[in-house]
Amino acid sequence: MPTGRTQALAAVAGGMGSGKLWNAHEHKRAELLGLTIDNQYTVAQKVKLYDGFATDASKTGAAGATQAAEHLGTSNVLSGLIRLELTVPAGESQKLGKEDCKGIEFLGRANAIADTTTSDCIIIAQYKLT
Amino acid sequence: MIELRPVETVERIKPAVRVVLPDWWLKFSTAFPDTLDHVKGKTFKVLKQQQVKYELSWLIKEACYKDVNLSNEAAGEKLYPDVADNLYEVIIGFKPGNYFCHVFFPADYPLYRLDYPDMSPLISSASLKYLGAIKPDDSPVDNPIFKLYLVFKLKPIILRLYADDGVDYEKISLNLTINRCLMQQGVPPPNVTPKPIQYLDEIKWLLGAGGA
Repeated sequence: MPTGRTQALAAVAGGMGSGKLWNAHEHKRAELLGLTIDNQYTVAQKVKLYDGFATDASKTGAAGATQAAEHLGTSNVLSGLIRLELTVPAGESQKLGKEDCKGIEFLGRANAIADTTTSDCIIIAQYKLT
Repeated sequence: MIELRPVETVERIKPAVRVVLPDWWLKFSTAFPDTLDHVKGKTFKVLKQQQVKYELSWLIKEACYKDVNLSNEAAGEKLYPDVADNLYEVIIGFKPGNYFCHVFFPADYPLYRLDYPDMSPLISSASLKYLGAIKPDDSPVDNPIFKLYLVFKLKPIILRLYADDGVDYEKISLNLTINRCLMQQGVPPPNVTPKPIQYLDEIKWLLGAGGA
């Protein structure tokens, strides 16, 4: 079971490599199995997990209208889909187990973005590629 | 007196994927068109075989579809044999997801349909989009049963992969096993019944053996 670890990075630092927990797999999706946020910073942190990927061009409707490729989180983490959002009070740790994470899947890359950039808030995720 | 009896169970045996193996005999239907006269109505012995694994994936938005051409055309996935004495037995397993697949051969002609004129798969119809659709459960990656037999110069087979309503986006992943078979034309021994290889039109139109 792979583990991803990162420290809290704020949205202003939200480039593609920011707060990365794991990279996208070409043919697999990632299932979140557990999450630990250890917030030893002085204020509460709201942590969001973003799913970043680009769709393939496709077609839609009876006439087969072209559906252009969409770029979600591929140029900026914040344009990705939010799969999980959690606020952790200052000086506390919160842990989500397998049951809490059940059904939370990522199609692409996973990034964690917080309110403040600080090394005092660590985010650790366990996941499985399927 | 109480008799505790074990619950009756049915032993289920998971069928293993059977692939064409060396020394097998194959008989191609006479329903193959004249353009495929290198196999039409002929019998072959499989000399050698090799299985090649391949994966393909697409990320598609909900209620959208992607037409995947399996042929060697420029826009195709190039999964067809490129020489006349090869047969590709392609086994396709679908990873779980909220999607389904329609098969077209040739393009725009669905392989699975019913007899009534309108009973054809239609992606824009709330009900007909499910007609003849192959779902991931029908041929899962751990027990794939969806097979295609591809020969040189066969018209393109199109897989229409549709991300069904209910999810924003879907990752559609196909696990393919391409069983490359080198064939040699011949006459099978009298005690051997060759495996029949039907032309897809026979399946589509429920034609009799030999295209009757």
